[in-house]
Amino acid sequence: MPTIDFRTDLLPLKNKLYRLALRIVADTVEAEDITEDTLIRVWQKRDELQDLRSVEAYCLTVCRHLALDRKALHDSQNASLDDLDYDAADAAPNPLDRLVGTDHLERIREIFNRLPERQRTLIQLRDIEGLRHSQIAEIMGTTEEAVKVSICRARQRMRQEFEAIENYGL
Amino acid sequence: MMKKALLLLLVALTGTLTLSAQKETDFTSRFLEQDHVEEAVFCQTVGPAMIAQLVTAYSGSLSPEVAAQLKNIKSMRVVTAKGTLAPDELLRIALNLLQQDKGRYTELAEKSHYQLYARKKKDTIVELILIDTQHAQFNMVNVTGTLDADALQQLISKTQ
Amino acid sequence: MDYKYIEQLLERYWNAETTLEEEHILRTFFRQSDVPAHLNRYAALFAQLDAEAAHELDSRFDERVLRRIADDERTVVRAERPTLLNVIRPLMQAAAAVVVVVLTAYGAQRAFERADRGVWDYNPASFENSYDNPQQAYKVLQEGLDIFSRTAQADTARAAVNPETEP
Repeated sequence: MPTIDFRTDLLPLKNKLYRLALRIVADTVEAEDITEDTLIRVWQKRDELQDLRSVEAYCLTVCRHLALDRKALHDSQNASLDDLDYDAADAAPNPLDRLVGTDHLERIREIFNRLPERQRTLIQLRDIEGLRHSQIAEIMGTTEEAVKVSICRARQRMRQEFEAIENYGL
Repeated sequence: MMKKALLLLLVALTGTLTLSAQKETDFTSRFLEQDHVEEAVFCQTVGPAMIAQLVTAYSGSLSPEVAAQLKNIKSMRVVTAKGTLAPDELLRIALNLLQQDKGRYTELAEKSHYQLYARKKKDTIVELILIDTQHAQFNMVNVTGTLDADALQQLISKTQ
Repeated sequence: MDYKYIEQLLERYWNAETTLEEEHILRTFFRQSDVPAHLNRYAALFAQLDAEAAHELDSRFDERVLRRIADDERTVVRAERPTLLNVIRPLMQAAAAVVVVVLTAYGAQRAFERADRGVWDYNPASFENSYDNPQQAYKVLQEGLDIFSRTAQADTARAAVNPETEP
Protein backbone atom coordinates (compact mmCIF):
# COMPACT_ATOMS: atom_id res chain seq x y z
CA MET A 1 0.00 0.00 0.00
CA PRO A 2 1.60 3.27 -1.09
CA THR A 3 1.74 5.82 1.67
CA ILE A 4 0.63 9.32 0.87
CA ASP A 5 3.28 11.99 0.95
CA PHE A 6 1.96 15.46 1.66
CA ARG A 7 4.38 17.39 -0.51
CA THR A 8 4.27 15.19 -3.57
CA ASP A 9 0.71 13.84 -3.47
CA LEU A 10 -1.52 16.42 -1.80
CA LEU A 11 0.09 19.82 -2.08
CA PRO A 12 0.16 19.81 -5.90
CA LEU A 13 -3.64 19.61 -5.87
CA LYS A 14 -3.93 22.95 -4.09
CA ASN A 15 -4.74 25.04 -7.15
CA LYS A 16 -7.47 22.74 -8.42
CA LEU A 17 -9.01 22.72 -4.97
CA TYR A 18 -8.68 26.49 -4.67
CA ARG A 19 -10.39 27.12 -7.98
CA LEU A 20 -13.26 24.81 -7.12
CA ALA A 21 -13.72 26.39 -3.72
CA LEU A 22 -13.56 29.83 -5.30
CA ARG A 23 -16.18 28.80 -7.85
CA ILE A 24 -18.53 27.92 -5.04
CA VAL A 25 -17.94 30.56 -2.38
CA ALA A 26 -16.81 33.41 -4.65
CA ASP A 27 -14.43 34.78 -2.03
CA THR A 28 -10.66 34.39 -2.23
CA VAL A 29 -9.97 34.36 1.50
CA GLU A 30 -12.69 31.80 2.17
CA ALA A 31 -11.49 29.72 -0.77
CA GLU A 32 -7.96 29.67 0.63
CA ASP A 33 -9.23 28.55 4.02
CA ILE A 34 -11.30 25.82 2.45
CA THR A 35 -8.33 24.61 0.42
CA GLU A 36 -6.20 24.47 3.54
CA ASP A 37 -8.90 22.64 5.49
CA THR A 38 -9.38 20.15 2.70
CA LEU A 39 -5.70 19.29 2.55
CA ILE A 40 -5.44 18.92 6.30
CA ARG A 41 -8.53 16.79 6.50
CA VAL A 42 -7.39 14.44 3.72
CA TRP A 43 -3.92 14.26 5.27
CA GLN A 44 -5.42 13.21 8.57
CA LYS A 45 -7.31 10.45 6.81
CA ARG A 46 -4.41 9.32 4.67
CA ASP A 47 -4.25 5.84 6.14
CA GLU A 48 -7.78 5.13 4.95
CA LEU A 49 -7.08 5.98 1.33
CA GLN A 50 -6.11 2.78 -0.44
CA ASP A 51 -5.74 3.69 -4.06
CA LEU A 52 -3.61 6.69 -4.94
CA ARG A 53 -5.45 7.20 -8.17
CA SER A 54 -8.60 8.32 -6.41
CA VAL A 55 -6.89 10.82 -4.11
CA GLU A 56 -7.58 13.69 -6.50
CA ALA A 57 -11.27 12.83 -6.79
CA TYR A 58 -11.50 12.37 -3.03
CA CYS A 59 -9.85 15.75 -2.38
CA LEU A 60 -12.19 17.49 -4.79
CA THR A 61 -15.19 15.82 -3.16
CA VAL A 62 -14.10 16.90 0.31
CA CYS A 63 -13.38 20.40 -0.98
CA ARG A 64 -16.77 20.70 -2.58
CA HIS A 65 -18.57 19.65 0.59
CA LEU A 66 -16.58 22.02 2.75
CA ALA A 67 -17.23 24.84 0.31
CA LEU A 68 -20.94 24.11 0.17
CA ASP A 69 -21.10 24.05 3.96
CA ARG A 70 -19.36 27.40 4.16
CA LYS A 71 -21.64 28.81 1.53
CA ALA A 72 -24.76 27.59 3.31
CA LEU A 73 -23.48 29.23 6.43
CA HIS A 74 -23.07 32.58 4.74
CA ASP A 75 -26.03 32.53 2.48
CA SER A 76 -28.87 34.70 3.64
CA GLN A 77 -31.01 33.59 0.76
CA ASN A 78 -33.01 30.36 0.41
CA ALA A 79 -30.66 29.01 -2.23
CA SER A 80 -31.46 25.45 -3.16
CA LEU A 81 -28.53 23.15 -3.89
CA ASP A 82 -30.57 21.07 -6.32
CA ASP A 83 -29.87 21.21 -9.99
CA LEU A 84 -32.96 23.31 -10.74
CA ASP A 85 -32.90 25.43 -13.79
CA TYR A 86 -33.80 28.72 -12.18
CA ASP A 87 -32.18 32.10 -12.19
CA ALA A 88 -30.12 32.55 -9.05
CA ALA A 89 -31.44 35.70 -7.44
CA ASP A 90 -27.99 37.14 -7.00
CA ALA A 91 -27.41 39.19 -10.12
CA ALA A 92 -25.44 41.81 -8.23
CA PRO A 93 -21.71 42.06 -8.91
CA ASN A 94 -19.88 39.61 -6.70
CA PRO A 95 -16.33 39.73 -5.29
CA LEU A 96 -15.06 37.57 -8.13
CA ASP A 97 -15.47 40.53 -10.42
CA ARG A 98 -12.83 42.42 -8.51
CA LEU A 99 -10.36 39.89 -9.74
CA VAL A 100 -8.87 39.75 -13.20
CA GLY A 101 -11.19 40.91 -15.91
CA THR A 102 -12.05 43.23 -18.66
CA ASP A 103 -15.55 44.47 -19.34
CA HIS A 104 -15.84 41.93 -22.04
CA LEU A 105 -14.91 38.95 -19.95
CA GLU A 106 -16.88 40.28 -17.04
CA ARG A 107 -20.15 39.71 -18.83
CA ILE A 108 -19.20 36.10 -19.50
CA ARG A 109 -18.21 35.65 -15.90
CA GLU A 110 -21.54 37.00 -14.81
CA ILE A 111 -23.29 34.46 -17.00
CA PHE A 112 -21.16 31.75 -15.49
CA ASN A 113 -21.87 32.86 -11.95
CA ARG A 114 -25.57 32.98 -12.52
CA LEU A 115 -25.65 29.24 -13.09
CA PRO A 116 -26.95 27.14 -10.20
CA GLU A 117 -24.08 25.88 -8.03
CA ARG A 118 -24.19 22.34 -9.30
CA GLN A 119 -23.92 23.37 -12.92
CA ARG A 120 -21.16 25.83 -12.10
CA THR A 121 -19.21 23.13 -10.34
CA LEU A 122 -19.65 20.78 -13.28
CA ILE A 123 -18.40 23.36 -15.75
CA GLN A 124 -15.51 24.09 -13.42
CA LEU A 125 -14.53 20.45 -13.16
CA ARG A 126 -14.95 19.73 -16.86
CA ASP A 127 -14.07 22.85 -18.79
CA ILE A 128 -11.49 24.30 -16.44
CA GLU A 129 -9.98 21.36 -14.63
CA GLY A 130 -10.35 18.99 -17.57
CA LEU A 131 -11.66 16.00 -15.64
CA ARG A 132 -13.30 13.04 -17.36
CA HIS A 133 -17.03 12.48 -16.95
CA SER A 134 -16.34 9.39 -14.88
CA GLN A 135 -14.15 11.31 -12.47
CA ILE A 136 -16.70 14.08 -12.16
CA ALA A 137 -19.44 11.53 -11.48
CA GLU A 138 -17.35 10.13 -8.66
CA ILE A 139 -16.82 13.54 -7.14
CA MET A 140 -20.46 14.57 -7.42
CA GLY A 141 -21.70 11.20 -6.24
CA THR A 142 -23.81 10.57 -9.30
CA THR A 143 -23.77 8.83 -12.67
CA GLU A 144 -21.91 9.75 -15.82
CA GLU A 145 -25.21 10.17 -17.59
CA ALA A 146 -26.46 12.66 -15.02
CA VAL A 147 -23.18 14.56 -15.33
CA LYS A 148 -23.50 14.83 -19.10
CA VAL A 149 -27.12 15.94 -18.89
CA SER A 150 -26.28 18.67 -16.39
CA ILE A 151 -23.28 19.85 -18.37
CA CYS A 152 -25.44 19.99 -21.47
CA ARG A 153 -28.00 22.11 -19.64
CA ALA A 154 -25.31 24.41 -18.29
CA ARG A 155 -23.67 24.94 -21.64
CA GLN A 156 -26.96 25.45 -23.46
CA ARG A 157 -27.94 28.02 -20.89
CA MET A 158 -24.67 29.88 -21.22
CA ARG A 159 -25.07 29.83 -24.97
CA GLN A 160 -28.56 31.29 -24.71
CA GLU A 161 -27.24 34.08 -22.56
CA PHE A 162 -24.45 34.88 -25.03
CA GLU A 163 -26.95 35.02 -27.84
CA ALA A 164 -29.05 37.39 -25.76
CA ILE A 165 -26.10 39.69 -25.18
CA GLU A 166 -25.11 39.64 -28.82
CA ASN A 167 -28.61 40.24 -30.07
CA TYR A 168 -29.32 43.11 -27.75
CA GLY A 169 -25.82 44.49 -27.98
CA LEU A 170 -25.50 44.95 -24.24
CA MET B 1 0.00 1.25 -9.43
CA MET B 2 3.19 -0.67 -10.09
CA LYS B 3 1.96 -3.26 -7.66
CA LYS B 4 -1.15 -3.75 -9.77
CA ALA B 5 0.91 -4.27 -12.89
CA LEU B 6 2.99 -6.84 -11.09
CA LEU B 7 -0.08 -8.55 -9.73
CA LEU B 8 -1.47 -8.80 -13.24
CA LEU B 9 1.81 -10.27 -14.38
CA LEU B 10 1.58 -12.79 -11.58
CA VAL B 11 -1.94 -13.82 -12.55
CA ALA B 12 -0.89 -14.15 -16.17
CA LEU B 13 2.12 -16.24 -15.25
CA THR B 14 0.16 -18.53 -12.98
CA GLY B 15 -2.45 -18.89 -15.66
CA THR B 16 0.18 -19.76 -18.23
CA LEU B 17 1.73 -22.34 -15.95
CA THR B 18 -1.53 -24.12 -15.37
CA LEU B 19 -2.53 -23.83 -18.99
CA SER B 20 0.64 -25.45 -20.19
CA ALA B 21 -0.07 -28.58 -18.21
CA GLN B 22 -3.86 -28.95 -18.18
CA LYS B 23 -6.06 -27.84 -20.95
CA GLU B 24 -9.45 -29.51 -20.68
CA THR B 25 -12.65 -27.74 -19.80
CA ASP B 26 -15.76 -29.33 -18.45
CA PHE B 27 -19.00 -29.98 -20.29
CA THR B 28 -20.72 -26.96 -18.81
CA SER B 29 -18.19 -24.62 -20.43
CA ARG B 30 -19.03 -26.02 -23.82
CA PHE B 31 -22.75 -26.03 -23.05
CA LEU B 32 -22.70 -22.34 -22.13
CA GLU B 33 -21.03 -21.53 -25.42
CA GLN B 34 -24.02 -22.73 -27.40
CA ASP B 35 -26.28 -20.03 -28.80
CA HIS B 36 -28.60 -18.44 -26.23
CA VAL B 37 -27.76 -20.93 -23.53
CA GLU B 38 -25.74 -18.66 -21.28
CA GLU B 39 -28.59 -16.20 -20.88
CA ALA B 40 -31.08 -18.99 -20.37
CA VAL B 41 -29.53 -20.64 -17.31
CA PHE B 42 -28.18 -20.00 -13.85
CA CYS B 43 -24.79 -21.59 -13.36
CA GLN B 44 -23.26 -21.98 -9.91
CA THR B 45 -19.64 -23.00 -9.89
CA VAL B 46 -17.50 -24.44 -7.14
CA GLY B 47 -13.93 -24.76 -8.35
CA PRO B 48 -10.98 -26.76 -7.04
CA ALA B 49 -9.68 -24.02 -4.78
CA MET B 50 -13.10 -23.52 -3.21
CA ILE B 51 -13.59 -27.26 -2.70
CA ALA B 52 -10.33 -27.27 -0.76
CA GLN B 53 -11.50 -24.29 1.29
CA LEU B 54 -14.78 -26.02 1.94
CA VAL B 55 -13.13 -29.16 3.21
CA THR B 56 -11.05 -27.12 5.61
CA ALA B 57 -13.94 -24.97 6.74
CA TYR B 58 -16.24 -27.89 7.39
CA SER B 59 -13.61 -30.40 8.45
CA GLY B 60 -15.36 -31.26 11.67
CA SER B 61 -18.93 -31.29 10.57
CA LEU B 62 -19.18 -33.20 7.32
CA SER B 63 -20.87 -36.58 7.26
CA PRO B 64 -18.44 -39.39 6.42
CA GLU B 65 -20.14 -40.02 3.07
CA VAL B 66 -19.92 -36.41 1.96
CA ALA B 67 -16.37 -36.16 3.24
CA ALA B 68 -15.42 -39.21 1.24
CA GLN B 69 -17.12 -37.88 -1.86
CA LEU B 70 -15.38 -34.54 -1.55
CA LYS B 71 -12.06 -36.28 -1.66
CA ASN B 72 -12.75 -37.30 -5.21
CA ILE B 73 -14.44 -34.18 -6.43
CA LYS B 74 -12.41 -31.37 -7.96
CA SER B 75 -15.25 -29.21 -9.19
CA MET B 76 -18.99 -29.02 -9.26
CA ARG B 77 -21.32 -26.92 -11.29
CA VAL B 78 -25.08 -26.80 -10.89
CA VAL B 79 -26.98 -25.47 -13.88
CA THR B 80 -30.68 -24.62 -13.71
CA ALA B 81 -33.02 -23.19 -16.31
CA LYS B 82 -34.11 -19.56 -15.99
CA GLY B 83 -37.10 -19.98 -18.23
CA THR B 84 -36.13 -18.13 -21.39
CA LEU B 85 -35.39 -21.40 -23.14
CA ALA B 86 -37.70 -24.37 -22.64
CA PRO B 87 -36.26 -27.23 -20.54
CA ASP B 88 -36.87 -29.53 -23.49
CA GLU B 89 -34.80 -27.31 -25.70
CA LEU B 90 -31.96 -27.16 -23.16
CA LEU B 91 -32.04 -30.93 -22.90
CA ARG B 92 -31.91 -31.27 -26.66
CA ILE B 93 -28.90 -28.97 -26.90
CA ALA B 94 -27.12 -30.76 -24.06
CA LEU B 95 -27.73 -34.24 -25.44
CA ASN B 96 -26.64 -33.11 -28.86
CA LEU B 97 -23.37 -31.88 -27.46
CA LEU B 98 -22.85 -35.01 -25.41
CA GLN B 99 -23.51 -37.36 -28.29
CA GLN B 100 -21.68 -35.36 -30.93
CA ASP B 101 -18.23 -36.26 -29.74
CA LYS B 102 -18.57 -40.01 -29.55
CA GLY B 103 -15.15 -40.67 -28.15
CA ARG B 104 -15.44 -38.14 -25.39
CA TYR B 105 -18.55 -38.89 -23.38
CA THR B 106 -19.90 -42.29 -22.42
CA GLU B 107 -23.54 -42.80 -21.69
CA LEU B 108 -24.02 -44.36 -18.29
CA ALA B 109 -27.77 -44.11 -17.98
CA GLU B 110 -30.58 -42.75 -20.09
CA LYS B 111 -33.88 -42.74 -18.33
CA SER B 112 -37.10 -40.86 -18.78
CA HIS B 113 -36.35 -38.52 -15.95
CA TYR B 114 -32.59 -38.30 -15.99
CA GLN B 115 -29.53 -38.70 -18.18
CA LEU B 116 -26.09 -39.62 -16.90
CA TYR B 117 -22.97 -39.30 -18.96
CA ALA B 118 -19.32 -39.61 -18.08
CA ARG B 119 -15.92 -38.77 -19.46
CA LYS B 120 -13.39 -41.46 -18.77
CA LYS B 121 -9.64 -41.58 -18.88
CA LYS B 122 -8.48 -45.17 -18.91
CA ASP B 123 -10.66 -46.64 -16.19
CA THR B 124 -11.12 -43.53 -14.13
CA ILE B 125 -14.11 -41.28 -14.49
CA VAL B 126 -12.90 -37.69 -14.60
CA GLU B 127 -16.21 -36.06 -15.33
CA LEU B 128 -19.87 -36.77 -14.65
CA ILE B 129 -22.80 -35.02 -16.25
CA LEU B 130 -26.18 -35.63 -14.71
CA ILE B 131 -29.30 -34.01 -16.17
CA ASP B 132 -32.49 -34.13 -14.14
CA THR B 133 -35.60 -33.56 -16.21
CA GLN B 134 -38.28 -34.37 -13.67
CA HIS B 135 -41.28 -32.06 -13.29
CA ALA B 136 -40.61 -30.49 -16.69
CA GLN B 137 -37.42 -28.83 -15.45
CA PHE B 138 -33.83 -28.74 -16.51
CA ASN B 139 -31.28 -29.26 -13.73
CA MET B 140 -27.77 -30.29 -14.50
CA VAL B 141 -24.89 -31.27 -12.23
CA ASN B 142 -21.45 -31.35 -13.76
CA VAL B 143 -18.79 -32.85 -11.54
CA THR B 144 -15.13 -33.30 -12.35
CA GLY B 145 -12.66 -35.24 -10.29
CA THR B 146 -11.18 -38.67 -10.10
CA LEU B 147 -13.80 -41.31 -9.51
CA ASP B 148 -13.09 -44.97 -9.53
CA ALA B 149 -15.81 -47.61 -9.46
CA ASP B 150 -16.39 -47.29 -5.73
CA ALA B 151 -16.56 -43.54 -5.77
CA LEU B 152 -18.99 -43.65 -8.66
CA GLN B 153 -21.07 -46.20 -6.83
CA GLN B 154 -21.25 -43.89 -3.84
CA LEU B 155 -22.49 -41.00 -5.92
CA ILE B 156 -25.09 -42.77 -7.96
CA SER B 157 -26.51 -45.38 -5.70
CA LYS B 158 -27.95 -45.51 -2.25
CA THR B 159 -26.16 -48.14 -0.29
CA GLN B 160 -29.05 -48.71 2.06
CA MET C 1 -10.57 27.54 -44.33
CA ASP C 2 -13.43 25.17 -43.63
CA TYR C 3 -15.18 26.01 -40.41
CA LYS C 4 -17.70 23.23 -40.76
CA TYR C 5 -15.69 20.95 -38.53
CA ILE C 6 -15.47 23.57 -35.79
CA GLU C 7 -19.15 24.32 -36.11
CA GLN C 8 -19.94 20.62 -35.77
CA LEU C 9 -17.68 20.39 -32.73
CA LEU C 10 -19.43 23.39 -31.23
CA GLU C 11 -22.83 21.77 -31.66
CA ARG C 12 -21.56 18.66 -29.94
CA TYR C 13 -20.01 20.82 -27.25
CA TRP C 14 -23.34 22.41 -26.34
CA ASN C 15 -24.81 18.92 -26.10
CA ALA C 16 -22.00 17.72 -23.84
CA GLU C 17 -21.03 15.13 -26.45
CA THR C 18 -17.44 16.21 -26.93
CA THR C 19 -14.42 14.41 -25.58
CA LEU C 20 -11.67 16.19 -23.67
CA GLU C 21 -9.54 16.12 -26.81
CA GLU C 22 -12.26 17.76 -28.89
CA GLU C 23 -12.76 20.41 -26.23
CA HIS C 24 -9.05 21.05 -26.35
CA ILE C 25 -9.33 21.55 -30.12
CA LEU C 26 -12.10 24.07 -29.62
CA ARG C 27 -10.16 26.00 -27.01
CA THR C 28 -7.06 26.09 -29.20
CA PHE C 29 -9.07 27.25 -32.19
CA PHE C 30 -10.68 30.09 -30.29
CA ARG C 31 -7.36 31.25 -28.88
CA GLN C 32 -6.33 32.32 -32.34
CA SER C 33 -6.60 35.94 -33.35
CA ASP C 34 -8.30 35.31 -36.68
CA VAL C 35 -11.52 33.70 -35.55
CA PRO C 36 -14.23 34.40 -38.15
CA ALA C 37 -16.93 36.90 -37.27
CA HIS C 38 -19.80 34.47 -36.96
CA LEU C 39 -17.92 32.46 -34.36
CA ASN C 40 -16.40 35.38 -32.54
CA ARG C 41 -18.96 35.50 -29.76
CA TYR C 42 -17.84 32.11 -28.56
CA ALA C 43 -14.22 33.17 -28.38
CA ALA C 44 -15.05 35.08 -25.22
CA LEU C 45 -16.36 31.98 -23.52
CA PHE C 46 -13.29 29.94 -24.22
CA ALA C 47 -11.06 32.84 -23.28
CA GLN C 48 -12.93 33.03 -20.00
CA LEU C 49 -12.27 29.38 -19.35
CA ASP C 50 -8.57 30.02 -19.92
CA ALA C 51 -8.66 32.94 -17.52
CA GLU C 52 -10.38 30.90 -14.84
CA ALA C 53 -7.76 28.22 -15.10
CA ALA C 54 -5.13 30.75 -14.22
CA HIS C 55 -6.20 31.31 -10.61
CA GLU C 56 -3.50 29.99 -8.39
CA LEU C 57 -2.29 30.09 -4.82
CA ASP C 58 1.12 31.44 -3.98
CA SER C 59 3.96 30.01 -1.95
CA ARG C 60 2.77 31.69 1.23
CA PHE C 61 -0.08 29.21 1.17
CA ASP C 62 2.41 26.35 1.04
CA GLU C 63 4.25 27.63 4.09
CA ARG C 64 1.05 28.14 6.02
CA VAL C 65 -0.36 24.72 5.39
CA LEU C 66 2.93 22.91 5.97
CA ARG C 67 3.29 24.67 9.28
CA ARG C 68 -0.19 23.59 10.20
CA ILE C 69 0.52 19.99 9.32
CA ALA C 70 3.63 20.05 11.45
CA ASP C 71 1.71 21.60 14.33
CA ASP C 72 -1.15 19.13 14.12
CA GLU C 73 0.95 16.07 13.78
CA ARG C 74 4.04 17.12 15.69
CA THR C 75 5.89 15.11 13.12
CA VAL C 76 8.19 16.31 10.42
CA VAL C 77 6.65 16.02 7.00
CA ARG C 78 8.87 13.86 4.88
CA ALA C 79 10.82 16.41 2.91
CA GLU C 80 12.95 14.14 0.83
CA ARG C 81 12.13 13.75 -2.80
CA PRO C 82 11.58 10.18 -3.93
CA THR C 83 15.04 8.80 -4.45
CA LEU C 84 15.73 6.01 -6.86
CA LEU C 85 16.01 3.61 -3.94
CA ASN C 86 12.65 4.69 -2.54
CA VAL C 87 11.07 3.86 -5.84
CA ILE C 88 12.99 0.67 -6.54
CA ARG C 89 12.69 -0.86 -3.09
CA PRO C 90 8.90 -1.35 -3.08
CA LEU C 91 9.09 -2.60 -6.64
CA MET C 92 11.73 -5.12 -5.66
CA GLN C 93 9.62 -6.24 -2.76
CA ALA C 94 6.61 -6.62 -4.99
CA ALA C 95 8.71 -8.47 -7.56
CA ALA C 96 10.05 -10.75 -4.87
CA ALA C 97 6.49 -11.42 -3.77
CA VAL C 98 5.57 -12.32 -7.33
CA VAL C 99 8.50 -14.72 -7.61
CA VAL C 100 7.55 -16.41 -4.34
CA VAL C 101 3.92 -16.84 -5.36
CA VAL C 102 4.79 -18.05 -8.85
CA LEU C 103 7.26 -20.59 -7.47
CA THR C 104 4.73 -21.71 -4.89
CA ALA C 105 2.04 -22.05 -7.51
CA TYR C 106 4.41 -23.95 -9.74
CA GLY C 107 5.48 -26.17 -6.87
CA ALA C 108 1.88 -26.74 -5.85
CA GLN C 109 1.01 -27.61 -9.39
CA ARG C 110 3.78 -30.16 -9.67
CA ALA C 111 2.62 -31.72 -6.41
CA PHE C 112 -0.93 -31.69 -7.70
CA GLU C 113 0.08 -33.41 -10.91
CA ARG C 114 2.12 -36.01 -9.08
CA ALA C 115 -0.80 -36.86 -6.84
CA ASP C 116 -3.15 -37.31 -9.76
CA ARG C 117 -0.75 -39.05 -12.06
CA GLY C 118 -2.10 -36.49 -14.55
CA VAL C 119 -5.51 -38.15 -14.78
CA TRP C 120 -7.57 -35.10 -13.91
CA ASP C 121 -6.61 -32.94 -16.85
CA TYR C 122 -8.87 -29.95 -16.48
CA ASN C 123 -7.67 -26.37 -16.39
CA PRO C 124 -8.33 -25.17 -12.83
CA ALA C 125 -8.50 -21.61 -14.08
CA SER C 126 -11.54 -22.48 -16.17
CA PHE C 127 -13.62 -22.77 -13.00
CA GLU C 128 -14.64 -19.34 -11.86
CA ASN C 129 -16.15 -19.64 -8.41
CA SER C 130 -19.64 -18.22 -8.17
CA TYR C 131 -19.19 -17.50 -4.48
CA ASP C 132 -16.16 -16.45 -2.53
CA ASN C 133 -17.10 -18.08 0.77
CA PRO C 134 -17.28 -21.77 1.69
CA GLN C 135 -20.75 -21.47 3.20
CA GLN C 136 -22.42 -20.63 -0.06
CA ALA C 137 -20.21 -23.04 -1.95
CA TYR C 138 -21.36 -25.76 0.42
CA LYS C 139 -24.98 -24.99 -0.45
CA VAL C 140 -24.15 -25.51 -4.11
CA LEU C 141 -22.51 -28.78 -3.26
CA GLN C 142 -25.55 -29.89 -1.30
CA GLU C 143 -27.81 -28.99 -4.18
CA GLY C 144 -25.66 -30.96 -6.58
CA LEU C 145 -25.53 -34.00 -4.39
CA ASP C 146 -29.24 -33.67 -3.87
CA ILE C 147 -29.83 -33.94 -7.61
CA PHE C 148 -27.86 -37.18 -7.59
CA SER C 149 -29.91 -38.33 -4.69
CA ARG C 150 -33.29 -37.76 -6.30
CA THR C 151 -32.35 -39.19 -9.67
CA ALA C 152 -29.69 -41.84 -9.94
CA GLN C 153 -29.76 -42.81 -6.31
CA ALA C 154 -33.54 -42.94 -6.19
CA ASP C 155 -33.36 -45.15 -9.23
CA THR C 156 -30.96 -47.64 -7.70
CA ALA C 157 -32.99 -47.65 -4.53
CA ARG C 158 -36.00 -48.59 -6.61
CA ALA C 159 -33.96 -51.22 -8.41
CA ALA C 160 -32.92 -52.71 -5.10
CA VAL C 161 -36.59 -53.05 -4.21
CA ASN C 162 -37.51 -54.39 -7.66
CA PRO C 163 -34.60 -56.60 -8.66
CA GLU C 164 -35.83 -57.17 -12.20
CA THR C 165 -35.37 -53.49 -13.17
CA GLU C 166 -31.92 -52.52 -14.44
CA PRO C 167 -30.19 -50.08 -12.08
